[in-house]
Amino acid sequence: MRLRISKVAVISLATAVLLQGCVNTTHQKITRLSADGRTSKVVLMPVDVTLGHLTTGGAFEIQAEWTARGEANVRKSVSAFLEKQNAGFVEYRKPTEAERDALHTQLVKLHRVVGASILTFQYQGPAQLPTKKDGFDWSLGPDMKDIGRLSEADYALFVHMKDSYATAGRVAIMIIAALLNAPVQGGQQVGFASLVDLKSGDVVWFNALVRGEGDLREEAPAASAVEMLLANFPK
Amino acid sequence: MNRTAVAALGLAVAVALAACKTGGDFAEGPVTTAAAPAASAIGLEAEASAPTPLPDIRIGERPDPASDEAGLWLLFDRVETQSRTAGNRITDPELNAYIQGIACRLAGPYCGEMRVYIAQVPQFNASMASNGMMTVWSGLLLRTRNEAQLAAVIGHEIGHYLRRHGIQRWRSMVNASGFLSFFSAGMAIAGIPGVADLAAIATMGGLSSFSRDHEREADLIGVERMAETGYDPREAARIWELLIQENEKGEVDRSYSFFLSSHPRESERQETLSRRANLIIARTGKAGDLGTERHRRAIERHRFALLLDEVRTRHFKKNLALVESLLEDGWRPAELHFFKGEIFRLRDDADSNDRENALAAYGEALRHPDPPEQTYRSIGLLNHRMGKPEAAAAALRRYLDRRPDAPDAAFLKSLTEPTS
Repeated sequence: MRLRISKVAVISLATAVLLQGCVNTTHQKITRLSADGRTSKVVLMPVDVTLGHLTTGGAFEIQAEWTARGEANVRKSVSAFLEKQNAGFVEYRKPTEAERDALHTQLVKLHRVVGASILTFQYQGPAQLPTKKDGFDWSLGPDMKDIGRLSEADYALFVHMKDSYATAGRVAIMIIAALLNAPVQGGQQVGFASLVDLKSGDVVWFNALVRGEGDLREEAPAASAVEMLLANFPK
Repeated sequence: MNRTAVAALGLAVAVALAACKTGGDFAEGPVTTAAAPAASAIGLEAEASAPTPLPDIRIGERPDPASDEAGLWLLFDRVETQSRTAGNRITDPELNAYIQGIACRLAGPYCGEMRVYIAQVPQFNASMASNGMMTVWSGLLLRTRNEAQLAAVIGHEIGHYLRRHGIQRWRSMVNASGFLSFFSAGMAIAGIPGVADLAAIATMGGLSSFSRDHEREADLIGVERMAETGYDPREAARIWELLIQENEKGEVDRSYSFFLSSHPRESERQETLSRRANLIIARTGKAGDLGTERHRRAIERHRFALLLDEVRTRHFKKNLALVESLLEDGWRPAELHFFKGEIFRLRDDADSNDRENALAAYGEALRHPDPPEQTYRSIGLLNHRMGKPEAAAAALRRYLDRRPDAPDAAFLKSLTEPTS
């Protein structure tokens, strides 16, 4: 617990840095999906979308119905986005063999950690590692090839998004706090996405999104959130 | 990223998982648990009327998707997906089937509603999540002496599930933290910021006592289910006796804080459970089954590893108290004498004659049937440390004869060769 919180604190520090001013939030190794202009296939990994209330005391409470709607909206928006980008959209299929399924689950877990590490240690700010100041070299390792074999895709796209909505009680706190000149965080939309080359397992493109607005429960605002998250996506 | 949100998510997991068994020495508990020191003996009479503000969950019931309870289930469904491939999960199919079998026997028609996971954590604990994910810690398997004792703990966890304690605790926490924010904001207006800390303590105290009632209620459900399904209900109290003993002999430092305690004190639970078990036996006229042999068969292959995990915590006094207590049963004594030696060897305290005590314990291990092969390795390493190269070489050779492919064979072999 203690460990996790300190890590979270660092991440929030990094995102606080992101929030200030209009820095370019994208890190990338490639600007084109394929060198020869042929259509590359991108498999969308199970999206990690969470929607919920920000309660009066600042606790986040998952809302299952909104989460299901948000998940569907994000998946739909990502596939529409990839179509527009002229990339082939591939649906992720769970392997039927238990051992292979366990491997894929581990890779999804690994990505969550690597993604959080990129947010923390890659972006300019107090936690940025000296070795990450120049260049962008993160990898999930060669086991990612198995996802490529199963889905017959060239790249895997991981998407994490979290949307919180202030409850009436929270809004009251925000107003009181604003009167005291001590701003309190309201609802937020945060997310990150990474594109992984399935030949090498390397993260070739990464972007983060933090803003105080947006609504993944509805189709149109969900689509615009996804477009912001996938801005500068390789052509 | 939203710090409060993520931290709260972690907290939610901790709070809802904290429906755990014990208050022990959990100073080094793993990140997934809310370590819970034991409590004061307030509310001894709670036995008569435990709170039931929500109806019991029904078989096949799923929370309304729009509710906070559905959110909690979703959270735990995600935790469960992660837990399935957790590195410290014990996946041995036989052991899992054994524990799941006990859960099914106790849960009856609710059997299909809960899934048991065994986590390799050398502490006495188990937890139950709202969605039916039960986690049994390996330290529990080592400490329970028979199936009835294990059933008491599993029955207690089933009680948390049936009474939907998870969501009640979560709601109480959300309400309590809401109160806190209003209180802090109000105090800031009034210009006395320090007072908010006191409010925090009072709110935490309220939360804890809320969960103490749940623990008492789950204890009683557990002991009733035991008796109904043919286990000896008196074994539920026996666990607490054993735990009190281990903590006393192990000189576990306990600070009895009323506010921060989330569990009733062991002695209170032991007394209440014992009283209840005697009432049940007087009512039904039968004592029930211990299942000692079944329990032994199930953990036999695992006990060496479980003891190794314990000794690695290096809480030597506590380790020693546990091993001494297990020796009372007279089951597989060679293994226990070996670990007794290991505790002395690792502590290596000259004032306590640890080296001599260790050698004596290893000697004892070798006098019993089936001593662990590692006994020779440890005798060799200890003699080497004591500057007795011949005795060291002789013991190490005996070990290497038995385990030529040991991962440290090359190193051990080098110790058997005379240095120039």
